[in-house]
Amino acid sequence: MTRLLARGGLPAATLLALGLAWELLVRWAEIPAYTLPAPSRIALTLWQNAPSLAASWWFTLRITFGALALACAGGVLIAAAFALLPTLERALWPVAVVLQVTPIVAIAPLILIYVPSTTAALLLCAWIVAFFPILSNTVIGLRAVDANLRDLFALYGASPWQRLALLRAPSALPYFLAGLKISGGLSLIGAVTAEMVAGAAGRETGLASRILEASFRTETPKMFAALVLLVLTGVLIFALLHALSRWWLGPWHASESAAGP
Amino acid sequence: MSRLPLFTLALLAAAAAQAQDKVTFATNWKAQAAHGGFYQAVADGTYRRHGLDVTIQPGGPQVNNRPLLPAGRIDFLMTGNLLHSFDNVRNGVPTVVVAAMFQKDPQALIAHPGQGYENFAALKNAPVALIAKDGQFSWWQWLKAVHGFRDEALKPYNYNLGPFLANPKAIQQGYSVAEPIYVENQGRFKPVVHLLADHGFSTYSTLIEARTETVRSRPDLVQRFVDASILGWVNYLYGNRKAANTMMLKDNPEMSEAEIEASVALMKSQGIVDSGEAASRGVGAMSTARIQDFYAQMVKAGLYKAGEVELSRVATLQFVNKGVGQDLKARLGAK
Amino acid sequence: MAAQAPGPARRDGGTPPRLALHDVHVRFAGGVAALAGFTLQAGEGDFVALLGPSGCGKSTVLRLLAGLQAPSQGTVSSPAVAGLADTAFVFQEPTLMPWASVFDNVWLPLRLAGQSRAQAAGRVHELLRAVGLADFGHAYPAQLSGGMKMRASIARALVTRPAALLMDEPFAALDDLTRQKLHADLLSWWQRTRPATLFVTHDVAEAVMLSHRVVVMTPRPGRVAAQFVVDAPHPRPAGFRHDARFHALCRQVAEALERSP
Repeated sequence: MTRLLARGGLPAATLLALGLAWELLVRWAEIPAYTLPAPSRIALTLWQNAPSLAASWWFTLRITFGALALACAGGVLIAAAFALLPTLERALWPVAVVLQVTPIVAIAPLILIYVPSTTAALLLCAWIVAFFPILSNTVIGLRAVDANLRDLFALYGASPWQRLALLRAPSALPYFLAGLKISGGLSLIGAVTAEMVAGAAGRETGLASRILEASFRTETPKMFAALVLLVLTGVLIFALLHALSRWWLGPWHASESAAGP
Repeated sequence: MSRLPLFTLALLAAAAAQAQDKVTFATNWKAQAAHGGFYQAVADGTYRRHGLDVTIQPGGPQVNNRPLLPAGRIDFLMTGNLLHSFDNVRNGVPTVVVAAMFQKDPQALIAHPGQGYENFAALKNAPVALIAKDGQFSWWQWLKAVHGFRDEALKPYNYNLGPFLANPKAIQQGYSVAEPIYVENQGRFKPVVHLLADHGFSTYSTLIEARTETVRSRPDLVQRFVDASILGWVNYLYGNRKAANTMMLKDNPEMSEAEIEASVALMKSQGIVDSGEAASRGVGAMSTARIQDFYAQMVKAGLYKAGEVELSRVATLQFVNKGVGQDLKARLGAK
Repeated sequence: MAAQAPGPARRDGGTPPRLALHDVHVRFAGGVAALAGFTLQAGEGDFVALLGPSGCGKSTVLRLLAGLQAPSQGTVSSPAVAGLADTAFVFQEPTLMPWASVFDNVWLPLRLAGQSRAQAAGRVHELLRAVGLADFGHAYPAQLSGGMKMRASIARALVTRPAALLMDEPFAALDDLTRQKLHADLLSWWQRTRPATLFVTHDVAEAVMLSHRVVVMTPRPGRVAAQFVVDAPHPRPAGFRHDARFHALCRQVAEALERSP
């Protein structure tokens, strides 16, 4: 526990110092709140708007984690399909790449037009942004099997399913987790981008809409408050996925078992 | 006659020509007929004659020019309704309205004909209402509170007529002097148009905002800009607007001259610029009573709390209501 | 101690040898020949050492017998080639699945044959005890020393009571002390089921210590240069390493190795 505190100590102190510097700068230079609000003002705004911001935060969290879960499922399933059917991979790989490189900023408005439910549309946008790293990493991982182990499995007459489940999937795990860590952040970005670009409003709204709304109504402290929550979400995702990777790979993989910081 | 007075006059004129104040005026959209008066004042030299070297900075679909004014990057800003001004005052942003070019807000809802939307009350039951970001956070809230519109119907409008044209049951936002023309051109039908102003949305529109600091330290500059803009509008509506139109088409090549002229006709027939108080006191006229009334309505609609906004800080009447442009209008034989 | 010309070595009456290669040629795509006319046999209860310089094709022989490769010419017969999953392979690297415990690694061949964890538990524990890893069932390979990992690999090889055992320089990466201990242990484990065994090595002493018969290969392209029967009790008595017969045979084999064309 003390080690945990010690490890978190330096980053926390740095953040605190930066926050203090920000507060002092705003006060000393008398920067108006509608240009750059002080952290104290942002905290106050967070407190005052807690219920409505919390509701929007919950919506953004649901979209982000929903998209991440779907990206996992989709990425892994498609990767497994590609692993079992190389012809399928050759045929569909260009589709995956096209989906990846098309800017979500451009297609989000279109998706919002054609998909009836706003939530479904946002999920789809976030999914498109998030699934590719999982797919491509898992595909590589499924191929990165130790050659001797592969021979061993062949020697013992393993079926394709046994090979996939007992050899290729575990071999792919570190690669998958690396992709997952990337996709975690991307699903948040995708969810926020989709909402910002398409400007969804009304009942089904997350933090991005609140930022837009605050911007249009010149309520800059509220903009920053919503932004703080978004940043917190990103940090949360990062921490969670790193903990997951450490737990899953800890005992045996070089990336996690080497004496870490 | 001695040549001295002539020479002095020439010198003064030259001096005046060199002492032009550089001014940036940002609008809230791409160049369109609803900005005509300002482009007119640039094109026919009215601004120049008032000692102003004006640059018009257009807005656009993804552009938000509003923060530029308090930040000092522009000198004057065009806004679409008083709600923006209420918000500014509420948030302590030091800007103030100095003139209201439109007596009526052209903000409207348009619908397909023959779908039962001829009656305004039917609009709230439309399954799809295409509203853009700016409207979502302002007058849409008023429509919900006062006229029973629901968020379930709300879909984001990205300034693309496609979804509206494709769905006969859809309604969308537009300027009463603009979108109907485009719909007729692209969709080949005349849409039903409901002006929000006819149903209680009584705000002024195409307001000119300035920093309070500018009003305090350079009132002369503000007065000149307001006067020249008023004259620009009178000339645009009733005089020769060819040069202004050409300028606007350069800024926004997607328009056509025919569309601009149709828009001007609508502006005149709907009394957007030159009705009510402006008819007697000149274009740009404002009254405290009307501002207070609009605020009271917005309070009733739940957008603001009573007393939340100090109304005296919203607008200043010192630059308008002086009948500027009235004799010009008469000379141009305006109807 | 007697040197013998290459030829079939039949121990029993009429049963065909478990492992047999007859006039095998292996040519790679570039035209490089790995084996040229290689002939060898080993039956049940035979422990044959295959000795040769680097690149002579020793590993190719094992891969042919394991059914992982087909000859360009000639015949190969072995349980693996016949389609029976009755062959075990011990690689130079321990080739354990790093994500699985030692128990799970040893269980693998039985698992691939359809035995559940409970069904296989008895046999797996028996092997772990035999190789001295009884307390390390739950450990991960990353936590074991090199020698222990090799023991686990051998345990896995023997868990199915294989008819054929192929070993590719398994002790090459270990230090002398560990290697010598493993020599003694390997022979005692081998005694229990006496599979037909082909043990590839480049170490003369190891070949003589472990096998009934030492087959010396020529450099590439490989064929049999000489065979030597080790005329000594199997498993070796204590102190055999210092025996005069041992030294003499080592010298003979070494000379054959140097002489081979």
